[in-house]
Amino acid sequence: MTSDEHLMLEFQQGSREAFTELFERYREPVYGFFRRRLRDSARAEELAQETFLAVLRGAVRYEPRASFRTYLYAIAFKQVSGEWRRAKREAPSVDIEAGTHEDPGDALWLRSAIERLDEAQREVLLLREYEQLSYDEIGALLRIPVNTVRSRLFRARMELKALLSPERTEREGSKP
Amino acid sequence: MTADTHPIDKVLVMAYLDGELTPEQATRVASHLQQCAECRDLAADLRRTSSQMLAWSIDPAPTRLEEVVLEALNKAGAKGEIGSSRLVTPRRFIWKNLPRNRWAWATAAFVAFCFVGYLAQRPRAVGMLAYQPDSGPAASRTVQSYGLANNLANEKAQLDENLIRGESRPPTGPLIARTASLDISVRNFNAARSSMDRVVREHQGYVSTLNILTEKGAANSLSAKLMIPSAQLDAALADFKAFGRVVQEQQGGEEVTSEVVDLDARLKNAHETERQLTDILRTRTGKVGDVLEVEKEMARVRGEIESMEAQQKELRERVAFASIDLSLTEEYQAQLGGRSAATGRQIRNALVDGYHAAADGLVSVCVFLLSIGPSLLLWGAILFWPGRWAWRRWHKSMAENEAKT
Repeated sequence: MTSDEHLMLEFQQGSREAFTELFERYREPVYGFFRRRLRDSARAEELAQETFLAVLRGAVRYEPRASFRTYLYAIAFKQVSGEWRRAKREAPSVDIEAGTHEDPGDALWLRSAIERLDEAQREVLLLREYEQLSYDEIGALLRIPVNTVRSRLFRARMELKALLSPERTEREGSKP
Repeated sequence: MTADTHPIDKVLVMAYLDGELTPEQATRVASHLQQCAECRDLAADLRRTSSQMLAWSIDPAPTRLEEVVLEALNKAGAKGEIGSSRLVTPRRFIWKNLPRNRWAWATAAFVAFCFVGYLAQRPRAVGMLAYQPDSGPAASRTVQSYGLANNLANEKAQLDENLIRGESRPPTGPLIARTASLDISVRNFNAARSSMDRVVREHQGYVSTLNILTEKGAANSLSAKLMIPSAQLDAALADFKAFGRVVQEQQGGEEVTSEVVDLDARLKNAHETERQLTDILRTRTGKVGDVLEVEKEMARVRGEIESMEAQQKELRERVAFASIDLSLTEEYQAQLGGRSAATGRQIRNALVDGYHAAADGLVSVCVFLLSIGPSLLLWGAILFWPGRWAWRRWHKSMAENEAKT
């Protein structure tokens, strides 16, 4: 399979097929990236469009210094950060919420637990678990050292494990 | 188990599961996991948590996403812009970037405000006190009573002596105080300067005042007040005119005969009065009060005599010596020579001046900030919330407009 970076370089040379292939590879992950971070599905779709259009427009400036995945998610992260800033100005609380097609009970339980994590830890966890980025890629994206990525990820997982434990869930579920 | 006693960091166990360790580290952690039940439990917990997170799945991306992106791709392909710089979104106008960089703009505005305030606070005279070295290529020298012909000195001394004795000769003809003004443009300034001295010497005159201006990058010039015996004025003027092109010439004469005659007569009377008073004192027979009165009168007459003698001396000098206001200006020719020896000094002076200017500017800015800082803070505190409200409202309306379009 042709690498993402090679496809991007082919697109720079004018290959439409290369971009179509890249879009096919990352359409769902990028949409999921926004969907897990934004309440509004329409807005998530718009930002996913903006991300791909930014790749389209910025192809001339692309240099394969980092992986294409890091490049793509850096654009996406910039988009969502701007959206968060704007949403914070307009509405105080922005909670992650997404539509699911599986058991809504499990997803809600899980989402509420993730939502309770520290913001910095949560972002590292999401990038690792759902976007499948490596520690180095997460560090480059968030501009933090790899050791920080590792420690935040460990704390996030331990915290989530505690939040997802049956005892705690039952205890919190029994509260009026 | 603590981090101090446990041989493997828990974070390494997590990194092992994530495949983020080097082969050596992974081998070490794998072997440790076989021996350590606690770390095996940790690994199981981490795996379970990750698998639990899989429960959060997302709906498939809307088809419109594909439509929009591929449509943009097709448009770019149709225009042949794939891979060209024309695909790059044109930069927004600077005013459209303003909201994005509002802090930078606010800072720039504040700095500009401070600078304007600094300029307003700066004394105007500072701007006029530009680079004016005390010494250097520009030099101005004033010489008083430059030179004196020896023979004329003797003549003047004799004249003074006569005046003191009240033995001035009556004028045999009209007494004229002559003046002349010459403005000459010369090719060779230094040669003209030497020639001027020579002419003054030859005509037994002297230089009363001399002012020479030699400024780098400008024409040299000289202005002098020359005193030439009246009888030789015409000859001296002819010599001076030979220096170069006469730009301006002016001659004048003031008749002072009546003043001299009148002054001579008054002076003669005053001397006579003084002599009589001296005789009275020498043969005094009256009271002491009368003697004191005579002495007082003598002092007054003596004062008048000295004053009139000074006037007489000045008048006779004006008659005896004509005054020439000579101005020599070089026809300036720009020199394409190498750098002068003063270049290094100029650079050094410029550096020193620059340092002083920077220091003065810094101090002025500090003084300005300290002087208006409290007011700025006060007004900033007053205007912050209304400004923030207006900004948000404007930004919201812009966002709504963008959403509509």
